[in-house]
Amino acid sequence: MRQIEPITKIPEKVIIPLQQHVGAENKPLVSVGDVVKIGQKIGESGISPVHSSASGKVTAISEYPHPFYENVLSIIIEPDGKDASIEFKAEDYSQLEREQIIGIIKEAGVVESGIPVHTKLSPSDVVILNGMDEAPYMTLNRALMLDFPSEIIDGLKILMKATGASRGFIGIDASNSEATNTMNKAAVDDLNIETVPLKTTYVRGMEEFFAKAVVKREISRGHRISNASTMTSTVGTARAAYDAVCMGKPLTETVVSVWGVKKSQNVQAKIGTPLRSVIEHCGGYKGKPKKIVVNGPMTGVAQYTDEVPVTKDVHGILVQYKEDVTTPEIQPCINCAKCVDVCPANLLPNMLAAFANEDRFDMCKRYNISACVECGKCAYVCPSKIPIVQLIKCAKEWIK
Amino acid sequence: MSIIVSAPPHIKKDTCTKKMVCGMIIALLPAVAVSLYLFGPPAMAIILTCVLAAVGTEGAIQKFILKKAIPTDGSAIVTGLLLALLLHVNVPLWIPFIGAVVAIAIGKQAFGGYGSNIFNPALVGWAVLTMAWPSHMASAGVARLVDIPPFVLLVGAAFLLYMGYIKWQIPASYLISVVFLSALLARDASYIFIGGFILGVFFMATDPVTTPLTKKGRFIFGIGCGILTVIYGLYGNYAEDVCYSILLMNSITPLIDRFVRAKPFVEG
Ligand code: SF4
Ligand code: SF4
Repeated sequence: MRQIEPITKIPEKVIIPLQQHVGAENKPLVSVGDVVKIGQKIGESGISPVHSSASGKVTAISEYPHPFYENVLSIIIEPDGKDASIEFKAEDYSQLEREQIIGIIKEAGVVESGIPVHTKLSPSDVVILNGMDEAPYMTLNRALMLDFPSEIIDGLKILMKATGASRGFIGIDASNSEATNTMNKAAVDDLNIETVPLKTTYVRGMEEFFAKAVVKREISRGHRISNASTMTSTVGTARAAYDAVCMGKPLTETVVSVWGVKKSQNVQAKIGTPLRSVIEHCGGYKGKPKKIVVNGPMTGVAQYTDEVPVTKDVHGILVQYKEDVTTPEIQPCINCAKCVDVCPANLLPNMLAAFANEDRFDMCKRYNISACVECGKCAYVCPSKIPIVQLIKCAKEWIK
Repeated sequence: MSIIVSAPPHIKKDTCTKKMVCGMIIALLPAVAVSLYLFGPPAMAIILTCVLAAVGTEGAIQKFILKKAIPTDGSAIVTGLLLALLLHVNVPLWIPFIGAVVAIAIGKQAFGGYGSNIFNPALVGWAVLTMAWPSHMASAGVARLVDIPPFVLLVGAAFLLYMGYIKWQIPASYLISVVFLSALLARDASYIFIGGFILGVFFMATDPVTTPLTKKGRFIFGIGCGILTVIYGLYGNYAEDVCYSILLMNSITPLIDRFVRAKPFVEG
């Protein structure tokens, strides 16, 4: 059974923000009234272009709410319902040079957590794909591996070629034997590609931890790898690289885990689809929504409105209702050290929070506050419901 | 649409301090029940006095001196129960009363309340009583409330470990170091099967508030307790060693926390 359901219904309105990566905003290449096709480049600044995900007429180019920033200049397209696309030029990556692959990935606008992927493709020995999901609720990486194993393997090979890496790894949750088997089967002919079962839970912003976990395991098995020469990416990016090179398709769609709706599932949505349309596709709200979170529950961003569009970095939508959104009373820290036990950065979150609360920023620094990756785990487990992450974030702002 | 915007994380685990305190009380209930069964009305009187005095003191301080909204968070009940279990069956009732008042007023509130205290409050109460009225606290041949079959306490301990309310590192390192050292010094270590020892190892040495933060720190704490217990044991009796060892280690917990830290995982 397919894990990912494509949303076939064309939304009434598609909003393509010109800013979908970290760096200079794209300049629009079209004007109001123009007719565009799927895959057509409509914004460009030399870093990471954006493309139309629908065919239709540009009705406006104006500021529009964005899931991660405040209002962003966006191209608003009214689809004509034809879904006509430009001609995609497929390539055989084995015939391409390293620079050509990087060029194609750049032109396709492939972005991962805001970073244009082509900028990550410096020479490396190994490429590590992350196939772990941010628990709970986010299941898209698992779904991607079950639905597109051979595309991911090809994508990995493309990334390996682009970085000159000789080996590729895919880190998968050790309890996820289904995905491991699927990927192993897909990679059976490639002796340079291996799956790595991992026990660590992955959290956003922790590529380094993840890469180290993989490298450590390889070293323990007698392989020689150094941390410095690894390139870390995700299974989603591998698939986007495959689409870009082998299909000639720019990044115009993304896979989203949708939870807290009538039918929780993984969907593939056009970039630019308003969250509301995605939620409607999944059966709609279960009641009166209280909070709409984009991306995982631990680090995601709560939205002001469900009109914001899906962007390249939207991988999860979590709707919460009155009963899910509690504002528990904050109790004093009881020194229970639950936060210390879960902190992936080996910090003392309770101390950091206490120092931050008293504006003792010198002490925060001494306790390595900058190493905090803001994963949210400490605040999640804290029995006293102390908003540790906010306190740490504030202190970090001050120190800056 | 009225949706709210707030900072992540957007979910919280459902353990709260109240649940942890309740867990402690539940874990102590089998021991209390067996104690009541074995020692009857005197035990009942001691336990009631301890708990009521502890809760009353806490309530009075929180309400009238600190003017807080909630008179107690329940942790006073735990303190009362622990103190009661440490007492002899034949003590006059003013002993548990004074002990509980001292435990809460000095052991806990004087340091700033639950979470800020350095010493385990029940042990503070116990220590003051022991020093002031040694005759009542060390009546040879008279049982203490905690002198019950040890497995009853172990049931509660297993529950706490299972729920994750106490950290396994301390009891494990405590027990191992006691057994190891006793073997080394050719001392009798059979007291590890005595109720008072088990109560100390699993219920008092594990108090989250007064023990180190890091895993390494907890091992040091447990081993320290073990060494001190055996050394005290050379001179005193087992009942006192456990309590004094834990108190002493409590006092150096801030020091352990200060110096024993895991290497931060700095990127790059
Ligand atoms: S958010 Fe908390 S748990 Fe995560 S790295 Fe920072 S301090 Fe550690
Ligand atoms: S989890 Fe909360 S209560 Fe426990 S030590 Fe950390 S900050 Fe304090």
